[in-house]
Amino acid sequence: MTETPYLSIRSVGKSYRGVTALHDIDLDVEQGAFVALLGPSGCGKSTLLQILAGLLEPDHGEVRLAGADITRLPPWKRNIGLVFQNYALFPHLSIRQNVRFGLDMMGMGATEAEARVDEALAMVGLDPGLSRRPDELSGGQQQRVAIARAIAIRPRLLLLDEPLSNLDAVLRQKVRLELRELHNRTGITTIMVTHDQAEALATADRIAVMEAGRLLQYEAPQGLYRNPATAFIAGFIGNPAANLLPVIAHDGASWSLPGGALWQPDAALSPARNGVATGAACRMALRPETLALGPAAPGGLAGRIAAVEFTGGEHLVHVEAGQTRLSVRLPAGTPIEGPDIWLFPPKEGPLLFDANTGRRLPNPN
Amino acid sequence: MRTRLSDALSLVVVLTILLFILAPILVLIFSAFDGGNIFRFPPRFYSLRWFEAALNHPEYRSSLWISTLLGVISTLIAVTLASLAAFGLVRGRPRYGLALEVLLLAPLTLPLVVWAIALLSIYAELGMNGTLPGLILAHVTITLPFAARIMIATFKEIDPRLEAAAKSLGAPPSAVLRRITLPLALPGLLSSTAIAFLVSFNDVVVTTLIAGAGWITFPVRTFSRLRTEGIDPTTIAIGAMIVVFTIVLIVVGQRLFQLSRRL
Amino acid sequence: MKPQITGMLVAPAAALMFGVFVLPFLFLLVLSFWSQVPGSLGLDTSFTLANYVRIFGDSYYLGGLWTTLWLSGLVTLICLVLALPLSRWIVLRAGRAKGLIIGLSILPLVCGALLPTLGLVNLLSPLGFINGALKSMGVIQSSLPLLGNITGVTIGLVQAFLPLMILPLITTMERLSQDYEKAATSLGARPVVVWQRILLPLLLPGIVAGSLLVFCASLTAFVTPQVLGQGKVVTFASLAYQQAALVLDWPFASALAIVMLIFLTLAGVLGALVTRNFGRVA
Repeated sequence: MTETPYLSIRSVGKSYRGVTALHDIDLDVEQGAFVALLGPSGCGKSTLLQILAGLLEPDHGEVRLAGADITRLPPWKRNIGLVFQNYALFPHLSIRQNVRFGLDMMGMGATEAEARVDEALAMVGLDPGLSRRPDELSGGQQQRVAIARAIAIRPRLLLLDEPLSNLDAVLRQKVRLELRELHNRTGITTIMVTHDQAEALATADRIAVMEAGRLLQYEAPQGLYRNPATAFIAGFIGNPAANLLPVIAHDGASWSLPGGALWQPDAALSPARNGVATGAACRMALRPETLALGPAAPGGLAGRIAAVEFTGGEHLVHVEAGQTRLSVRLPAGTPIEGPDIWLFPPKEGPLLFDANTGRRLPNPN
Repeated sequence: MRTRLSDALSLVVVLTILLFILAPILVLIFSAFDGGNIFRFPPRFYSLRWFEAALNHPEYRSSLWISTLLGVISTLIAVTLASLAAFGLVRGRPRYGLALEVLLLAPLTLPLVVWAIALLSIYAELGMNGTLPGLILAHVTITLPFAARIMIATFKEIDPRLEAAAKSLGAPPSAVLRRITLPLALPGLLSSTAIAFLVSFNDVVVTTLIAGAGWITFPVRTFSRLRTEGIDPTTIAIGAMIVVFTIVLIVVGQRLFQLSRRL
Repeated sequence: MKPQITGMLVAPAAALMFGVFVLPFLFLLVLSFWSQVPGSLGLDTSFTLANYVRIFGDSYYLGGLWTTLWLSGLVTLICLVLALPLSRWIVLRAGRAKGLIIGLSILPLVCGALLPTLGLVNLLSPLGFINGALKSMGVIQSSLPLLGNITGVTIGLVQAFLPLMILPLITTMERLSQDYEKAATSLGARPVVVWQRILLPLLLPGIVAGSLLVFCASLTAFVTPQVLGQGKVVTFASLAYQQAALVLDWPFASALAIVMLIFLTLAGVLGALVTRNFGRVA
C-alpha cells in the first residue's frame, strides 16, 4: 500500500441540518476497479456518491482522484460520468443529442462527436440510428442511453446510482451482467450505489457496506460473505441472509435460547471453546445452506417446521426454534419429515457477534 | 339500455352547463355582427359596420393602445420577477419558503376590490393616482401571482437531476440554464405570459379605481360608459374582438402546452 | 443553491407583494378608523368608530350586506350543483376533448369581469336573445324581466365564477381513485349511497375550496352586479366601490371593505371547520 490509490476518500463527513449523513469515511479505489456501495436506504451511500460527483460539498475531508484534490472542484470540471436511478435523460433532446451533450460541452467538433456518439451507443448495444426521443423508449433502453451518455465523455470515474432498481426482475439480472461486461470492456473505474446485496455480490470487485453513515466493511464479495464484520452484514448478505440466533452463554458447554430452552451444541460451537463468558449475550449467524435437518441427535437444536417453500432447485424450510425463526436451504428432493425436527449447524468455527455492539467475536483458532 | 339512456342524459346536462358558461361569450361575438343601433334578437340585418366604427373610433383606439401597452409592460415585469422568485423558491428551498409562496400568491385569494380601495388612498397620498408607473405597479401586483403559480409548478416538474446530469457532463451553470432549464421551462413561461397578459388586459376591478383620467384602458372605458350611457354597438364589436383573441390564445395554449393544467 | 442567491432571486417579487399588496391592507384598517374632512379630500386622522356605526346603524347598508350575503350563498350553491356533474363528466368521460373543454370552461376567468357581462346584457335584455327567441316562438307575449334585478345578477355571477368551482373539483376528482367507487358498489352500495358515503366525503376538500372561492368572489364582486343589476341591486362591494371611486369618502369605503374582509374570514373559518369535522366521516 505504498502506491497512492487512484481514488482516495479521506475522512469525508457531511451533515444536513444537524443530522449526520456521513461519519468520517475512508475509502480507496484502485484504477479499473468496480466497487459497490451497499447499504439500506438512508445509510449515506447516495450522499457519498453525490460528493464524488461534486453535487454536494463535504463538511470536511478530502477526495483525491488521480493524485489531484477534487474536493471542491465543481462538477462540470470533474469529468466524472454519472448515471441516475431515474436516468435523468433530457426530455427535450433526442437520444443522440442526449449522448452528445457532454461532448458539446467539451467543445468537440461535430464529426468527432458524432463518431463518439456512435461508439458509445454501440458499446451499450443500442442502434446508433436511433433518432427518437427518450420517452419513446422502454425503461431498459433509457438506461442504456443514460450509460452511453455517461461513458461518451470517457469519464475518469463512472458513478451508477441504483442503476437496476427501476427495472423489472428479469431485466435486472440481464442488465447487471451487461454492466459487468461493459466494465470489463471499457476498464472505467466504476462505483455503483445499491441497496440490493445480490446485485453488489454479482457485479462488484469490492463491496463497501455502509450503515447509518458509517463504512462497516470494505471487502471482496467472497470475503464479505465468509467473514462478515458485524451481525448487520451477516443478516444482510446472501439470499436468504444468515439466520441470527440470539443466544446467552449458560455455562461453558451450553447456550440458553430465548424462552429459556437450553442447547448443548457440538463442542466446537460451545461458549467455552469460543471464549464467551457465562451470562454474555451473543448472536450466532447460521447460514441457511449450511444447516442440516434430521431426527433427534446430540448437538442438535429442537424445532418445528412452520412452512416449506419450493423454489425450483431447492426447498426453503422455515423452522421455529427457541422462539426464533430460522430458514434452511435444502436441495430439491431431500425428504423432509415434520413437523417436529432437529437442526444441525456445521461443526466448524461459528460466526458469533456481540449482542450489544453487533461486532464479530474473534475466532478462537 | 338504461346505461345508454343515462349516458345520453348526462351528456345533455353537461352540454347545457357548458353552453351556459359559454353563452355570454358566444352572444357577444354574435351580436357584434348585428347591424342595428340597439341589439335585438333576432337581428334585422348583419353588417361589419360596428367593427369599422370601433377601429376608427379615436377614444377606443387610444384605450386599446393603453391596454396593450400596460399589458405588455406589466406582463414582462411580472413574468420576470415571478420566474426568478419561483426558481429561487423551488431550487433554493429557503427557510420560510411556504410563507413566501403564500405571500406571492396572496392576491389570488384576497379580494382585489378591497385592496384597490386601499391602494387608491395610498396612491392619492403619494400623488400616484392616474400615473402610468402607478398603474404598472398595480398590474404587476395582480398578474405576478398567476405567473408565480405557473412558474412554481413548472420548476417543480423539472427534475433537478436533469440539471445535475448536465453538470456532470461538463456543463457550467450558464450552459445548464440555457440548454436544460430554460428549454424545459418554456411551456410554463409561455403559459404564464399568456395568462398574465390576459389578466392585465381584461382587468376592470382594480384599474377602474386607480386609472384616473389619463390612462383609460378599454375595460375601464367600457365600464364607465355602461354605467352612464348603457351598451353601445362599438363596444360590443371591440369586446367581441378581444374575446376572440382570448379564445384563440387559450385554445392554442391548451393545445401546445396544456395551459389549464398550470392554472 | 447558495442562500444569498436564493434571497436575491426571491426578494424582488416578495418585496413587491409585501409593499404593494400586504401593506395596503394594514393601511386600510387604520384608514377605516379615520374620517373624511367634509367637502374636501383631506383626512381627519383622529380615531373614530363613526364609519362602523354608520354601516351597522343604517338599514341601507345593513340591507346591502344582507342581500350580498344571501346572494353569494345562492350563487355558491348553484355553482356547486352545476360544477359537480360537469367536473365529474370532464374527469371521467371527456376523453381526448378534456383539455379543450377545460380550456373553454375557464374562459370566463381569463376574459375579465366585463366582457362576458356585455354578452349577458344582450342575452338577457328585453330585446335580447332569450326574450327575442321566446317571443318569436310565441311562448311569451311580453318580455321577462331578466335584467336590473336579482335574477340577472345571480345568472351573471354564476356564469363568471363557475370556473372557480370547476378547477378545484377537477383537481380533487383527478386525485381520487375510481376504485373506491367500484369497491363500494361491489359491497352493495347503490349510486345514491355511493355519493353520500364515499364520493362527497372524499370530494369535500375540493367542494369547500371551490365554495370558498366562489363565495368570496361573489361577496366582493361589483362589476357584474353594477352592470346586470343596472343600479337596482345594491351589493356591498358596489357600495364600497361607489364610496371609493365616486363619493371619494375613503375612510368609509375602507370600513365597508373591512366589513367584507371580516365576512370572508368568517367564511374561511367555517370552511376549515367543515373540512376538519366532516372530511373523512361518511
